[in-house]
Amino acid sequence: MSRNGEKLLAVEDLTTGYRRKQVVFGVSLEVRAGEIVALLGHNGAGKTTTLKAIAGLLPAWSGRVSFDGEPVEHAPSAVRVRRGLALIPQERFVFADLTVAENLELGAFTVADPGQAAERREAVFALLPVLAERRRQLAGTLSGGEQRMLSLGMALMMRPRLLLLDEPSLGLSPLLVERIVETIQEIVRRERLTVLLVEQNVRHALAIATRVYVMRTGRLILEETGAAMAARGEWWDLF
Amino acid sequence: MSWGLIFATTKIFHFSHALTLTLAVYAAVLAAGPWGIGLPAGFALAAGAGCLVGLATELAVYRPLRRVHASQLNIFLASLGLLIAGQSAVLIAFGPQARALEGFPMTGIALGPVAFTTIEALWVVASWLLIGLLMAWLWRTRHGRAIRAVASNPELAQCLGVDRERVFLLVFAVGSALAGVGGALLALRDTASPTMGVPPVLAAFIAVFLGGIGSIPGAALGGVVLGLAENMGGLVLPGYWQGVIAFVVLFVVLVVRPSGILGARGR
Repeated sequence: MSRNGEKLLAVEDLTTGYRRKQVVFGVSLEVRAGEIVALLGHNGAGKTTTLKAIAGLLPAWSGRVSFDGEPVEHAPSAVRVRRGLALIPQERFVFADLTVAENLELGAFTVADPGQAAERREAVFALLPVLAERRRQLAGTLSGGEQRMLSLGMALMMRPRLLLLDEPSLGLSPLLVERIVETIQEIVRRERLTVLLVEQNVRHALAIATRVYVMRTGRLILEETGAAMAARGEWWDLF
Repeated sequence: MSWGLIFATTKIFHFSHALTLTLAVYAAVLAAGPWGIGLPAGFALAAGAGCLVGLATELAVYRPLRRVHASQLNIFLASLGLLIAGQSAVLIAFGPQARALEGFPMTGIALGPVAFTTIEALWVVASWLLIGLLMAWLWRTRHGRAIRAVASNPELAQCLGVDRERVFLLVFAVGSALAGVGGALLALRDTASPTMGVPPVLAAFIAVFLGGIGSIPGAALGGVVLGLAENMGGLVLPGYWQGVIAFVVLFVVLVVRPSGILGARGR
């Protein structure tokens, strides 16, 4: 287990894209244990693509990704998940035609001990009681906010050392966004998770992030602490 | 059902499943006939041979094609090509004549006005048994759940640490073994021939579209609906209309409910 402040994720000069189209042009960033880092930027700036390459859903074309001191840029995503590096995607983040309980159990797919998985499930139900009420319902029949709650529940089942969260506020009403942000903060505090968060909504990201990176057209253009960023008050020229 | 399982999970239009079935049945015919190791061993051999052929197809054909990002159409064409080449090879090796899978006592049974043979009774019992086992496996075990996860949302399954390539292998192994057993059951009455695999796979493909693409229970339900429609139709129309009825039912369902009977709506 890495202690607070130790370098958990280091990305160096990463380039990647989809098939022949390059999207990310040399991104370097790091996340230390205990931090909540936000990756901000415009639609199409390459934030999601960067996360996918870190999680192993997309191959890195060049550059290095190391997790807890070990290079993982060639490891399949399943190996990265087992080491504790997990992504909750932006879209289609639940199994719509499986029940809520089955979704949670799949969250613990890499947990070999069934007793431990059951224990975690009870913890999820205690934190998110709405999921306990709907455990036998198909996930596709939940509301948008409930599906987000379920995806956070699945992240809790996995209990990764570094959670990559891709736009958890996308498509939700302002009231629901507030609840989701609170839930994320609660989870992070309880489980001492380290988080790398992608957001378009700067205000919500700044509410929880300790440090931010800003991306534009596939490159990082700024790195700052959350407080300094909030004090700027004029982020718009960065986007 | 086995074709539906493979299609729902891998999205591969696995036409050469027909070849898997044919090869498995020929293995059973050889076992029960010339090699003389008996019919039960023949069934076991059909399952084993089916499993091996399915795994080999996935590893030697589909996986390399996926690696170069082949389109679904290209993969389908490769599958069709493999089927045609394989059928010709069977034809060269065994000749065009049909071969019987011998050793099962066939007698007629009459229950009041209903008459059927022992083989048909075996078909009903064995197919429900296999479907029940398959469903129990898919719904009650960790591996089964991983398969349904990949069928439902492959990218999310990958995010949670499910190894997609291994799930594909598992599905090809189990689906192809089932096809081998199913084919051997068919051959008990209808004999084995190089092209015998095609009609069951066509029926499976209609059943899958009837029941709803991507829905594994839907494939089973589609099979029941299709079988009923064909045989009820047989009461009023001559037997050779069966194929027409099958496609008319498919056409009607696709017009009225394009996602299939159990398919997800509005996704």
